[in-house]
Amino acid sequence: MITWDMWIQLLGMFLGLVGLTFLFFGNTWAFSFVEHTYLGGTVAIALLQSIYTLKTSCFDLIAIGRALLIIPFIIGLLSFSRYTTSRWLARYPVAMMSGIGVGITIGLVLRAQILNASVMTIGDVLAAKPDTVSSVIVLIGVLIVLIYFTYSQKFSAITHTGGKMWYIGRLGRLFAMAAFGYLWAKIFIDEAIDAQIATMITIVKRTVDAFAAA
Amino acid sequence: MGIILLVVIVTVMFNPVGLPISVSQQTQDFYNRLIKLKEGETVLWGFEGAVIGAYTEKKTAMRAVAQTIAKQKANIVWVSFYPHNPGQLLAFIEYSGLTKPPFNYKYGENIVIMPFLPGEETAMAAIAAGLKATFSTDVKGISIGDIPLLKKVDKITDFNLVLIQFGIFTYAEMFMRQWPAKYGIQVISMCTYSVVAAYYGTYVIGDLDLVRGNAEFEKLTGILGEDIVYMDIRNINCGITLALIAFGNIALYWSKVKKVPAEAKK
Repeated sequence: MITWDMWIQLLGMFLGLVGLTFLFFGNTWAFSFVEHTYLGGTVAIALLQSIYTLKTSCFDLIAIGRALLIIPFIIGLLSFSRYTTSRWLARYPVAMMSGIGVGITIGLVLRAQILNASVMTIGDVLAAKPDTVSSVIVLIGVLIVLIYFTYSQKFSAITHTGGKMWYIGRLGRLFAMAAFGYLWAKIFIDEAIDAQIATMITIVKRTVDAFAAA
Repeated sequence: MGIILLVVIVTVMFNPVGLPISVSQQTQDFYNRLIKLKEGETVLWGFEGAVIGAYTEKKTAMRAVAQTIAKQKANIVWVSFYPHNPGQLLAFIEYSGLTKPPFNYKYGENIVIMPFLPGEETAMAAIAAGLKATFSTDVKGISIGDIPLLKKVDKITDFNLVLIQFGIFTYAEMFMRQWPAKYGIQVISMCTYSVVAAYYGTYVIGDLDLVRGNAEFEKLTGILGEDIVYMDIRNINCGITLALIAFGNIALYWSKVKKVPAEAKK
């Protein structure tokens, strides 16, 4: 017997396949229908969730006495002034968000991404972790990549093309290329293949399995 | 090329080859940390699922992780950062089987889902500072004060373990800054290893490296899902892709070598 879940799975498979027709037939009415259904559904969920979030993280808290939350709420409302003649007011929420964003981030960037990385690199050399040769190579790599990215006529011209120690800059570039190569190869090859597999498993395998189980 | 890969995917999808999988150190660390959980302890699970379809890819591995936590009789509180995530997590509770035997978890006592909170890194900072000051209710509209599980946890340091799960790479830095670096805690992660490699051993003490890590974890725990099949297809597909790249390079090189004598003769 075909259950409700299986009908939904079948509908999902059908819409998914119609979405993929874009690759062969371009922007047809069928593709547009799927696209608009997807976007409409997503926006509807986002809108409802945002209203619920306003209730649970703002209005309810104001109601129990945290009156100061009215200030960020009003600043947030100013975003909608873009639809009025006083559109300049929308600069305030943007400025507040940027300021708060930088404020909560900047100190922790130093701690998490600069100090921690430096301590870890040197600590690994001292502790010979994972082994002496690897930790020394990492330390050399860190230093010469930093040198490569130092763009200063006064301090680093010597390590760039035309300088007496150009080979340091060149080696730094090789280390950077190895790191970027690993990262992008992993991201683009692995994840592109994973996405392709996921599409096929979600659309085809789960539907076939569901029918087989029935 | 695309057609070859498609044929391979469909063939292996229905006939898994069962290629051997070795468990990496990061997956083993992840598992070891989970089985250190004690009865009654609570896990904060930070879930970022910006790409809606990504949940369907990851749900079998998420089930394996959630059931491993449940086997330790530990509790879970989920927080999320995109509007569609709370709905996905509600569906996940049903899918994971946590509320059914043998776990019999009860919503509110063992598992809770917090509502969506906008602001990404700002939201992380607010959540870490305290759930009660950030939310008035959970995702089902139950008042925070009426949820038994949330009576013993509030700040991020109240949790016994923090698990972060994300797909967008910049979330690695956001999580690291706002949770481990600020509060001096260590986390385990479900994300591409390359984005947390720089923090591994200090802030991150275990990782499931997406499909590979998920498949390893499923193998390790015996809670089998689709990731084993993914891994089979991926191994064969990557082999074919690399072979074709090598073949293309050799063909290009050969075509250049063949041209040289003809030009030299002139």
